[in-house]
Amino acid sequence: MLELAWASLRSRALSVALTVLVITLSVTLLLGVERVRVQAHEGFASTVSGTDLIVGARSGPVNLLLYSVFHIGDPTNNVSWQSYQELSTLPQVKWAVPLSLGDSWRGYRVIGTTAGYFQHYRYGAGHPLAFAEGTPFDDLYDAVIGADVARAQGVRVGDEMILAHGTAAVTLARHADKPFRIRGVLQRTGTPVDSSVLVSLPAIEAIHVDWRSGVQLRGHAVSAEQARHLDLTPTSITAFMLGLNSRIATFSVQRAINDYPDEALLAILPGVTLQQLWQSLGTAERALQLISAMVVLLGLVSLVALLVSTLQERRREMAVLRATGARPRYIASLLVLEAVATSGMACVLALAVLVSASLAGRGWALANFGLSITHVWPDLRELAWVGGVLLLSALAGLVPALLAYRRTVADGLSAGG
Amino acid sequence: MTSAAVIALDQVRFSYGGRAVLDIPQLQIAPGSSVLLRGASGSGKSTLLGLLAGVLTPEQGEVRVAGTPLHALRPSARDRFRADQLGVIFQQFNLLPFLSVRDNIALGLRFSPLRSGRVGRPVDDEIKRLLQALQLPPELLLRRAGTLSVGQQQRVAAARALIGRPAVLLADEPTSALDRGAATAFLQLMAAQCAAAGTTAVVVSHDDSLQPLFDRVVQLQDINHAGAVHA
Repeated sequence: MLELAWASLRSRALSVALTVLVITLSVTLLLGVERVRVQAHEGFASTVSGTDLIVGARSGPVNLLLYSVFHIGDPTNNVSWQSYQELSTLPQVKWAVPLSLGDSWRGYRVIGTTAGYFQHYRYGAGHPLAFAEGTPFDDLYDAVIGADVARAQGVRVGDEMILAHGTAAVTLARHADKPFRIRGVLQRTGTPVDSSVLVSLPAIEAIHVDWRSGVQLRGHAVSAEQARHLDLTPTSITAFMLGLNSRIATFSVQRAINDYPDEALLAILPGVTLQQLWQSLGTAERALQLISAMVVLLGLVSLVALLVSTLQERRREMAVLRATGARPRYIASLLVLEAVATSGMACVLALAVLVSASLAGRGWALANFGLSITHVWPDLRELAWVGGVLLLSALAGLVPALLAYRRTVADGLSAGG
Repeated sequence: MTSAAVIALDQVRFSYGGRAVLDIPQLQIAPGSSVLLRGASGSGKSTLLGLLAGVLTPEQGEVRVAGTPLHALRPSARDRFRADQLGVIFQQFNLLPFLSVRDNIALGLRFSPLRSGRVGRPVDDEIKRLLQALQLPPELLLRRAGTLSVGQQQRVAAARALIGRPAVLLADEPTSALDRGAATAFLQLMAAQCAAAGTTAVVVSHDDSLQPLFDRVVQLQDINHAGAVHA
């Protein structure tokens, strides 16, 4: 039966090839969208990895995640330096990295932090930050910039930058008296770090030492050099990241922070909150899935169209098979087999396209999107999709098969007219 | 009805959409004979062939072919009967155009282990023998059937119908696409092979000139009472 189906398909090579092409494209699209979706999800879910808790002023978890990690929106309140000091010295805490937000450079958020940021921030499958050029900040007025900042603004190590007060895209209040120098450029991560400017926590204090309520105090200007000699310990920060000695302690430390008596604080598990955020973005994802499923359906409709269109001219073949004693069921199975063989070829091709595209696009995706393509070979989930497509095409083949079945019974032996 | 008859119809009635097409009280055909079935178009010749092939079932009466009571069998059993006991040749388009001549002939054995067993020698030897017996050049064996001339295709169809020595060969206007000379040659070769295999041949044709090639001529209107009413 297989060789009969194969010979029959080969005799209609061109139209079969076109149908295979249509189904290949649609299955490739489906699997491609699925793969990008899963990879994007994985990448997103590991925007922050290795950090056990993120702590900020009490608001909503997603809000805290958005402003501390994605630099979207503004915090409702700050965390006092004293609270930070106390909580970061809890016995369960292994490391703490403070984050101080509120300034910007050409629209990119400036993050005041410590050298610990470069050491402890992890993304993806535990990748640490790496320098494309230069080193972490050393001098008070040193800055480290993310890969997008360097590329989009065409700046590099040694260039000078004047930070702006506030985070609005266009701002008149600038810290012109205390210019920074780029000390390092980070490699691309595919995370919001790429569009960040990192400076030390004392630097944030230094540029605000003569500011009150968002304006510089006239007549009390402190020069960049003078500022170096002041006590630059901050009074408050925006948020901080915690790494714990043991993950088991995560919930007890979280509870301790949420119940902290001196200040209304909120501690979140970044992974859990990232998941929540992703789910709230799920509509677009589902729409994408729906569209690619529709495309596959279209491909299968073209398969049915192919089989049905040939049915009329193949009536004689069926009569011949009937005359030699083939049961109608055999003829119907033959058509289903042809349908499955056609989409089977398409599925194999689609997987081949997917694997080679993943192999070829690996470096490109990493360099341009910081997206590390971790899986190249088809996984179980993708094979399940392919299995589904084959099952559907068997069902699609059933349509012409049933038509043929009924016809061969009704036509009897009359071939040729 | 005698047990000697290979084809026996008894009180058979068949109608299409309320119109009586066939009403045949008796028809018996002796084994090994060759019969020309004649009749005007629309007189029910194809319907009769359908009944003999077990593709159609009579409303009433009994149809026995090669001892098999077709009227009493389920469709799948009739399919098996056709595979085991019958060879069929159509007017035209007898072959699967995308298969080789060899595979088309082998198709006659495909659905019947019984028939394959009757070949009694390697299938390819038998195919070559039939090809030769039907005066087809052996180099056609691996050609795609669609590339053959109509005359060659009909001979290949005869080989397919005859392989495995079926009890009955049914042919529906097998020579209508051939010229007079080719038609006669074809029927002579076919008859010789039927005789060699002990196969009974029932051939439908409206070509009177072919009558001398057959043992017996049956006019459908003579045996069919449904036709007689209108005649």
